[in-house]
Amino acid sequence: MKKKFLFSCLAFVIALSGLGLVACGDENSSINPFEKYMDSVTTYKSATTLFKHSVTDGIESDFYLNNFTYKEESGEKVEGSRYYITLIAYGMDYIEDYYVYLAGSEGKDYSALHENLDALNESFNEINQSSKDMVNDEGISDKHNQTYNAHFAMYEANAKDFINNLYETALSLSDFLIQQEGFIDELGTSSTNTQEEIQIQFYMDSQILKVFDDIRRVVIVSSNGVNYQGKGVDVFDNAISLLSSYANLSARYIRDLNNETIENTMNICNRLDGERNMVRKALDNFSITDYVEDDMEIDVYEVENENAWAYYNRMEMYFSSNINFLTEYYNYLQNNIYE
Amino acid sequence: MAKAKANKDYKAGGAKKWLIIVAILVLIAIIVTVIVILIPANTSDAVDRLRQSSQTSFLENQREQENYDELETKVETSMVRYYSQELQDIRTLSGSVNQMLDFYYEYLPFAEDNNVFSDNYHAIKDNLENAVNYQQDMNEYISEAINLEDDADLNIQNLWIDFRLSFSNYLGCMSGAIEALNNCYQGCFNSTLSNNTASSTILNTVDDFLSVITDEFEQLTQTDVKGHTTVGGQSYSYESHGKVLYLSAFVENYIINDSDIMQYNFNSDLQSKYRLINRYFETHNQSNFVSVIDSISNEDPYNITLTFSNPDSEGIYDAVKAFIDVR
Repeated sequence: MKKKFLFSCLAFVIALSGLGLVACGDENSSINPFEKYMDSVTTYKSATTLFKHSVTDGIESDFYLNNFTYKEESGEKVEGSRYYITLIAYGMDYIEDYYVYLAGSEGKDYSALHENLDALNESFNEINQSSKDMVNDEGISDKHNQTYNAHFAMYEANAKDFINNLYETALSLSDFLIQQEGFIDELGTSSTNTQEEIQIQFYMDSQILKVFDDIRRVVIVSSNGVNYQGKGVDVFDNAISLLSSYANLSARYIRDLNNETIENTMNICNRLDGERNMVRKALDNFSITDYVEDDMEIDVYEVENENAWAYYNRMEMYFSSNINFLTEYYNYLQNNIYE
Repeated sequence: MAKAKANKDYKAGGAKKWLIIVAILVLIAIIVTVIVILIPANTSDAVDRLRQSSQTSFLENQREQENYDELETKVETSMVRYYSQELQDIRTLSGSVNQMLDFYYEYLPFAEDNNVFSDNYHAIKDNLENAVNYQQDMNEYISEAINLEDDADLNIQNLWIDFRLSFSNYLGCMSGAIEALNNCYQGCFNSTLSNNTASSTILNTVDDFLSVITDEFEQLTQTDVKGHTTVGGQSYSYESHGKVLYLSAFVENYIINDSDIMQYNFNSDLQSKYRLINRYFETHNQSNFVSVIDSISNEDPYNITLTFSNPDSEGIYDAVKAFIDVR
């Protein structure tokens, strides 16, 4: 009797805990974040200290990073690393173009979208403040390069965080539209697919988004945001060059494509994803910063990172060897997809 | 009476409880032992082994090369100089083997840990580990040969025969490891650009080359044996020179320069090329290129001599020969 009573109490407590956990679950998971995206994009666009309308590497964007400059000893302003600007412009344009397709969506799990957008908004606040500090300090610090550059260092650091959150957000939006909304399910399957033009544009923009993300992992993550261009790190140099090439490509019109070309392209893109998974593992395990500190001597770096040679080789195959996958992919897109 | 019975029950219950505890502990020990013994294949373990092998395989380090140079000189200036071509080819062959190990080392750290990997894990690891032992023997024979106090030709010959036996075993292990690595390449990198028809054809052909050459070295260990009364090489018939030349060029052309593998998915001409080459198997009733490689002549210009009587209007066999002979 006593035992039965104790077991009943235990079962009741476990059931209550379970209900409590469910009740405390993510309340956003069922709320469509369309309105939140709209508010965020509107807010970002109105942040004219941070963003302006301009063109970078062929991308015309309302999200061109403003006042992203540091001062040399002479007091002359020099633009910060261009790839920060290009990465932000493309990522923001992607979100602005495609969040609208969340309108009308219902009954899905939106928790990842909320989570990423919340993180992006937080880092937006930081970078926005940094950009204001740059401007506020302009007149006062005109002759104080050190102070100006200290603000720029903070601006750049916040830009780095913003870019990382931006790409998480953009990629989660892309994944959601493809996997949850089935946005491209009919692509290449039927000549009567009336939405095909939008779907192709979305699909190719998403593929280029992934390429930009690959490059982000080199120039922002593995390099810790430090600009190693021209320092003898082939992977870094070529990643920058590819960023410019793909940015220009993305601004071009897409040809009229037949189903065979679409199917072949999707096959190539899926296989590129397979390579991407490998190079991401390599990038996760290879620090370009540490490699540079070891004077680009792979034998030296191998002392602390046993498989460094394999990882760097994988990165070269993807970004920079004579024949590398991203260049082959670029050539394919240029010859078959874009005008 | 009731109290005594209660005591008796208590003692019996206590023993039973201890038996249960011991039984549980034994069961746990058995389960842990089974788990440890049957521990799943570990990619990092295989990668470590492969990395070490690619860095230390035969003639990779300078000291081994210097010793081998000295041995070559000794052989060339002796009555057993007919072994010279074999010595040179072993150097070339070892280089090709190491290039293959390097190639697979670029991929293995990224392999999917699936059933294919599990099935080939031991073949990779055990063969590479056994190769190390044979390599040690080879180096001992080389050292003994170059430090001979009595440079009698018979002594050199005998040591070379011993060396060859170890090398033959070493090559067999490397061939086994490379075949298992090929299986992993084709089975653990699904849906990637670098695993395609071109790569399968190329890597399978390397396996075919190694299989043929390994067999020939093994036969040589059985024909050129110790105990001949004279040093004259009457039973010596080395026939692998052409095949070693082909393999070396093949590895340079398709592995070191991996353009066919890298560009296959983007290039319709390459896709047509390999489609045609692969038609060879069904049209000529072959399962691999072993008979093509086997027919490589041992005389300059070392042509492929295999012929077929059935008509080949598509030029399949010519395509295969052009694929294999890239000297």
